[in-house]
Amino acid sequence: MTGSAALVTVLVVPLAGAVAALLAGRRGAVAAGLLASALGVAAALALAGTVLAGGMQRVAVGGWAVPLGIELRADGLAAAMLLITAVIGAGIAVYAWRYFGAAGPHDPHDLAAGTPGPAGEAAPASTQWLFWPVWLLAWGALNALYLSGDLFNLYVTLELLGLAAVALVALAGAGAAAAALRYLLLALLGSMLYILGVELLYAAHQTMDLLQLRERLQPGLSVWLAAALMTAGLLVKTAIFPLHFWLPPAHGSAPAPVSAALSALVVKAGFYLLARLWLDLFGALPGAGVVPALLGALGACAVIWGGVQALRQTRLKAMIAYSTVAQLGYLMIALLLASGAGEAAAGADGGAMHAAVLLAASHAAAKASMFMCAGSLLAAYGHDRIDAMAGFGTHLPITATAFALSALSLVGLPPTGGFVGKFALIEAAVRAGAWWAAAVVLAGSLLAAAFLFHALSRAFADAPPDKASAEVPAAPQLAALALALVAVALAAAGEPLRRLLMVGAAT
Amino acid sequence: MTAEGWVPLAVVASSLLPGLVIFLLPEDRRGLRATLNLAAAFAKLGLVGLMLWNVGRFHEYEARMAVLPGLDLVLRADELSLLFMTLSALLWLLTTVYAIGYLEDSPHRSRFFGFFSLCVSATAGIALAGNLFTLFVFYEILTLVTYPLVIHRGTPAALAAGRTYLLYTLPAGALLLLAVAASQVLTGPQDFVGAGYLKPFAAEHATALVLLFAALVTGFGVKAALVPLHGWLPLAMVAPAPVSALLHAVAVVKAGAFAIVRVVYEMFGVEFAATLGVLTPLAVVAAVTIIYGSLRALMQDELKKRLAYSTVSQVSYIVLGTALLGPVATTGALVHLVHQGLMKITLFFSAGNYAETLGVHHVSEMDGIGRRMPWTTAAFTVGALGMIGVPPVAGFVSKLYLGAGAALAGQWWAIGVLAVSSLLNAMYFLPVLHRAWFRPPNGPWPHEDGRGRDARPMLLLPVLLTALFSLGVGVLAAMPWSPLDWAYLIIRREYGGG
Repeated sequence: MTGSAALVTVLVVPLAGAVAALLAGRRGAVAAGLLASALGVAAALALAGTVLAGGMQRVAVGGWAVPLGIELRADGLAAAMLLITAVIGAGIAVYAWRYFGAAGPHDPHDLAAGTPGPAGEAAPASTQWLFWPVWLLAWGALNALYLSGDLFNLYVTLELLGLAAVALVALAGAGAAAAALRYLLLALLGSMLYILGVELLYAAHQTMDLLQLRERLQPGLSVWLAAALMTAGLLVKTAIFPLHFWLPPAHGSAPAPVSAALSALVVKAGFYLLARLWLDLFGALPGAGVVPALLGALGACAVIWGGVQALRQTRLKAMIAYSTVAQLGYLMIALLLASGAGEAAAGADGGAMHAAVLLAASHAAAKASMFMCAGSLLAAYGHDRIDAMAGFGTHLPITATAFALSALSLVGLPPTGGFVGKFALIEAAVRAGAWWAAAVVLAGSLLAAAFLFHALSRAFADAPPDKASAEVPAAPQLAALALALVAVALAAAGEPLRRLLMVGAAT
Repeated sequence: MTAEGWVPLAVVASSLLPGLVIFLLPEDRRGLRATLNLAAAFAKLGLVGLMLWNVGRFHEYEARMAVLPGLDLVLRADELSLLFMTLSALLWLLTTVYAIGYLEDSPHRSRFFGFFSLCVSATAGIALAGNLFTLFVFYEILTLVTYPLVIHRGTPAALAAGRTYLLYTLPAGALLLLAVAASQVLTGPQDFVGAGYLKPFAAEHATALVLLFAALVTGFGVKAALVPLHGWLPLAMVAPAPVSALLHAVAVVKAGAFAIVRVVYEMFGVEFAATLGVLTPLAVVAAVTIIYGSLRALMQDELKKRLAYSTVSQVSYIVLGTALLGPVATTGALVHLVHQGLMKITLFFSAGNYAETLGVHHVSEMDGIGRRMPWTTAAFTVGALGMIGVPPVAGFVSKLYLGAGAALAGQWWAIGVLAVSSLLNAMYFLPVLHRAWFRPPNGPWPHEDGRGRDARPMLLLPVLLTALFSLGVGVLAAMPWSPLDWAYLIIRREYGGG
């Protein structure tokens, strides 16, 4: 497969899958989803391979050159994010296949009947199949976002992604309506702020293409205003403290595969855009170091606040959702260290950005796995109160193993990708003399250890023999285990990832 | 990677892979599980034997893998690593036999033996770690795979002990992570090397190096149970007896002491550490730990708790010897690493036998137990006398070298510490022996298993062997391939041929 063909395939597969799933209807949607997932992984692998071997890939859509036409680009960072999305997405698809299947109205272990209350897992069975087209659409939007090289295109994909994500949350039915509505309003607010900033830039520079814009960028009030608007919009979308408040209810009340997709993949898009803006586009502005410094400070607050809130939760899914708030804080700290100020002092070896992508990938795998485990536990126990899950290691050994491994990665303990990423981040912090950042990251790790090991210790606790009420099929549990193993395997991904990220990073 | 780099990898894998398979075995596959366990233990011992033979002839093994730019995982077999590796491989075999006997009918055996094997793999990684990063990675993994063993019983007390264990070890891990990252930034990629590698950085970074030393010793000192970082160890004795053996002799506490030895000798270099002025504080901490642990041991009636505080005290002999400059003190420290393991595992196996066979958990219940369980009590006696330092048991050799080393280093106060500690050892062990051998039993035993005179063969054989080893390494200390002889070999490396 040539580079451009791979690039187009990566874009087309999920979108074609979405259409196919919609047309196939309730019976065929699963097949379309699984097939698209398999093809998507293959295409993303092929693209990453060509980028690694042949450098940045570009496709001018319709043959029109920039600025008239739209150009799709894949550099190392984009290829890495596409690959992460495809692999984690495939794991989520395998989980969702049996998860929604098992909850059908004719199934003896009807989830919908057994789980009333705030957990909100009671998805109406008749609309559950809609997960497939909507998820594939969200995946397509993510891929388009990573491949887009101009600001308007990024807006369109961001908006599409936000709407699809809201629809996914709403799948949980009436219980999640409030969370979905709040999510919708904030997603719209975020994209509105973003597009305002884009308009300002376009008015001043007559282009939306990122590369052209960077060359023409003239410092001035309108540019700063645009930068501020776009950044604020993305902070809302990425749920960075203190704009994170919508995330725990939305992620905590969605069905498990949806929570997994949102927490693992969707929020990463905002981080990716922030990184593009502040490492690439606005990084050259005089005095631009202020904003990454602010983002880093917010990230530090997010790490601590998210950790403390997670510690206070008594429900598993809410705890996992707050952990996402904290983990996004690490990425903001990495962004600061990777930006001009941090990296110049460090001799600019790209260590912080490398750490960020490793952390993002490990978090994606581990967090998806953990939400899936929470879904299985919810199905088995009929609730997700952490303290009432004694002995889940004996009832659900596969889930307990997956939970343990993903917890290790989220805390940042060896032998996992989360550990290697955290080590690289702390090394970058020490190199830059940012001891406070190292201290915050370590404090965040200890907080994460406190709440995750508390939950994990339930697996070993003495249990009354027949506490779990329902059987959970093996396939979803194995999918969670597979993603947890991905998080472990990422420990060995440091070197290949570094080479991939060098593509296009030198400019 | 040298052509024989597969050997150290295989040593780690020889317990890792069987461990992963054991997790998958159903509970009732007793025979298969035991076979796997024992085959793995013998395989590891064989591989270690091969390495011993070749390293004894100055041939080193190395395997290397890049994790991040400039950051490698290195497994290397040198003289020092094999000292610890041999001890843990040998004791793993005996502990496995013991554990198979001990856990005969208890639940969750596959989980237990799975984590048990992972524990030994992590220990092998620590022993063979060729640089600070590798040492740290396996040290953290050891924490994680020991935790499920500590809370194995799932009772509230076990879970609380596990929580305390993590409360000590995870912050220590965070501190170590910072120290390892900082040393990576300071020195760039470096491997452990005889006589250390930090000396060239002294001119510019003396303060940073002192801080680094403090952070590393604090981090590793948690597992080595240096006072005041020892609080987790006495609580952790709620775990089953084989786990206590693992904590106190085979793996955990030893890993902490061994890591401190590595840091002092092969990162800083003992002579450079002395000029940096960090050894005296370390020696003082060790001395305080030795006395404090002995005093606390004196107050315990629960046998395992008394042994646990005895470990706190005895492991710091190793640290004390490390902190005294001079080859004789170093020899004492290195040889005690092995000797303490042999003697302490004997004592914990014996305590486990008493608990399993008669339900005896407290010293006050041990009157006349020598007549009821003569073999176990004989082994216990050997271990206890060794801990006191009675010749010809192993502990005597250690104390002799430590004392002479202190004198040669001009640190006379350290001899005082050793003397007081030996006295205290005698005070908390001799009354136990007196009760066991010379007092009549005061009533029926709490929980007779009703099988026979002494413990079951699976429980008795390992304890007799370790008692025999404790005697043997003392009597035959001057023979080639004894721990003492091997310690001489290491000295040559650490003191540059001196």
